[in-house]
Amino acid sequence: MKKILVIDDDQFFSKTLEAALPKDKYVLIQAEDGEVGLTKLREEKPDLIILDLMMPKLDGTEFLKRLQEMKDLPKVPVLVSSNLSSVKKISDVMAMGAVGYVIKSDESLESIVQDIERVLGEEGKKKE
Amino acid sequence: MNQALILGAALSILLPVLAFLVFYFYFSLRKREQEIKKEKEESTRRLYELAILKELGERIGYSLNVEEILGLITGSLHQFIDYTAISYVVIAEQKLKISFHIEKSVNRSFLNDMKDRMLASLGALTEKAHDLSNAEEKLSGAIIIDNELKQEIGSLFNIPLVISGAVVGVLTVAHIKKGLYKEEDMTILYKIVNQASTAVTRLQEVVTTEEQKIIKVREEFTSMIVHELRSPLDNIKKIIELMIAGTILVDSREFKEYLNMVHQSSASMLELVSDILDLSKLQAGKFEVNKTKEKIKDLIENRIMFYKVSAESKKISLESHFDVNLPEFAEFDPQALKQILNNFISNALKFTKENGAILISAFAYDPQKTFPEDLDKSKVSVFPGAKDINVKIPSLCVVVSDNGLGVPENSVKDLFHTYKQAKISPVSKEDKGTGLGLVIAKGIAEAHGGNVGVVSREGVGTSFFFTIPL
Repeated sequence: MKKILVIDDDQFFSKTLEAALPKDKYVLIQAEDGEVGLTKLREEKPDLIILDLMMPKLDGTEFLKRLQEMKDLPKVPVLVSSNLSSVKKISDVMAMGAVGYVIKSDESLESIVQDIERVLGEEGKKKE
Repeated sequence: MNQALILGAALSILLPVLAFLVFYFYFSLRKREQEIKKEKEESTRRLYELAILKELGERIGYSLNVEEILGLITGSLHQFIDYTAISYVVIAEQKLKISFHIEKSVNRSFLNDMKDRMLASLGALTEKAHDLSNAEEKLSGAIIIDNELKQEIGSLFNIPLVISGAVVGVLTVAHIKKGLYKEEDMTILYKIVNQASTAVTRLQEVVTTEEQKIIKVREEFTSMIVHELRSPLDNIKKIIELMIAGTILVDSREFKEYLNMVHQSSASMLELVSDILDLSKLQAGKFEVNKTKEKIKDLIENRIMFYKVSAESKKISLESHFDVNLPEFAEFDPQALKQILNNFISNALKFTKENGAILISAFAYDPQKTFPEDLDKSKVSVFPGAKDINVKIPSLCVVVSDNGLGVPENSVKDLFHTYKQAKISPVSKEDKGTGLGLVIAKGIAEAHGGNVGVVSREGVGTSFFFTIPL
C-alpha cells in the first residue's frame, strides 16, 4: 500500500481522484492547504505528494519553498497538479524540485493515475 | 606771530592727516557699500535660486516630460541671467528636438553657431554623433534679423540634462557680449537643472516600479480567474468521467453525493461567469440601471427570507432594522440592489462564525442634519458613522453588519479593487470567492449616483454599506 498525500483546497478533486485510484494499491490522505499539508507530511510520511498551487493560507509555491528550506522534513516526491497553465509557473515549480506538473483540466483522471504510478515506479527504482 | 607760525605748522601736519582720514572713511564706506551691494546681489541670487527651485518643484510636479521641464526652466531664467538667446536639445524617441528662445533679436548665423556648439556638447557627452536630418526645431521670442553680417557669440555655456544616469539633453545659454557669465551663474543653473533631473529620475523610478506592480497584480488576477473558472468545470468533467467508467454505480449512495458535487460546481461556475459578465459590462460603462419607484423595506425583507435558511443552518441570526425616518419609497433598480444585498449578505455569512449575528439596517441620512442616533446596534459591534457614510446629499443608507472575523486594516482598501482580493479565509473552507462581487456592488451603487463603503475591525466584525441618493 502506497500513501498519497493530496494537498488541495478543492475537496471535489481529492474525492474524484480517490475514486479513480485502485483501492487495493493506494491510501489517500487529504490536506486542504499547505499548512495542514506540512503537518500531515510529518505525521503520515507519504510516498507521494499531489500538490495544488492556488490555496488559502500556505499556497503550493510556498509549500515547495518550505520543503526546500526545512531539512527535517521527509524527502517525498511532489507532483504538482493545478489549473494554472502559465509556462512561467510550470518552469518555476519544476525548478523548485517538483517531479512533474499536471494541468488538471488538460488531463483525464486516468492519465493522472498513470502519472502517479509512473512517479511512484521511478521512485521505487531509485530506492532499490 | 609765533603763535600764527605754530598754528600754521600744526595745520600743515594735521591737514594731510585729516585728508587721509576723510579719504580713508570715504573709501572704507565705498568698500562697505560695495560689499553690501555684493551681499545684496548674493542674497537676491540665493532667494531667486530658492524661488526658482521651489517653483520648479511645484510646476514639474509629477511631469515626466523632459521637454516640458526644460521649457519651464528656460521660461523662468530671464529674471535671473541676461542672455541673447537660450536653447535646448532633447533626445526624444531617436529624434532630436531643438528649441530656441530669442530674447534680443539676432541673425541666423548666431543661432546656427549656438546650435552647432550645443550639439557638439551633446555629442561629446553622449559619445556619439546625432542625426540632424530628422531633428525638430522650434523658435520663439524676438525676431531673427535678416542680414548677412556675422554676429559672434561673446559668452556661452552648456549644461547637460541627465535622467536616470544618461544624458538626455543639453541646455545652452548665449550672449553677444563677451565675458558675461560668471562661475556663480553657471553653478546656479547647473543646480536648477540638476534638481529637475533628480526629480524626474526619482519619478521615473516610481512609475516603473508601480507599472511592474500593476502588471504583477493583473497577472495574479488573471490566473486566479482562470483557476476559478477551470476548477469547477474540470470537477464536473472528472465526475462524469468516473460515471462513464462505471466507477460510481447509479444506485449507490456515492452517486447522489457526486450529483451534489456536480450541482455545486456548476452553480459556483455560473456565479463566477455572471460576475465576470457584470464586471465587463460595468467596465465598458454598459451596465444598465432601470430606476423605478420601489419599497426598500420589501426588498430587504425579501432578501432576509431568501438567506434565512442558510443562516439558520449556520446558526447565525439574520435580522433587519428600519429606522423611523426611512421613507417608504425610493428610486432604484430593484434587481441591481438585490445583487448588492446578495453580495453583502453572502459575504457576511461566509465570514461569521456559528452563533454570530447579521443585521441589515436601513435609514435616511441628510448630511445637513445630524446622523440618526436611534439605530439598533446592540447585536453588532462595528457600525459606520457620519464620517464613514460621507454623502453630500440626502441619501438612503443600507448597512449589512456582522460580528464575524473582520478585515485586517491593511486589506480594507483592497476590498473594492478589481485586481485585488483581501487575503482572509472564510469560516468554512467550502466558501470561496473571487472578490469580484464587491467590485460589482461598487459599480452598481455608483451607477445609481451613490457609493459603497466598509468599516471593519479584525476579530470584531464588519459593516458593509451602500448609499443611494434620495
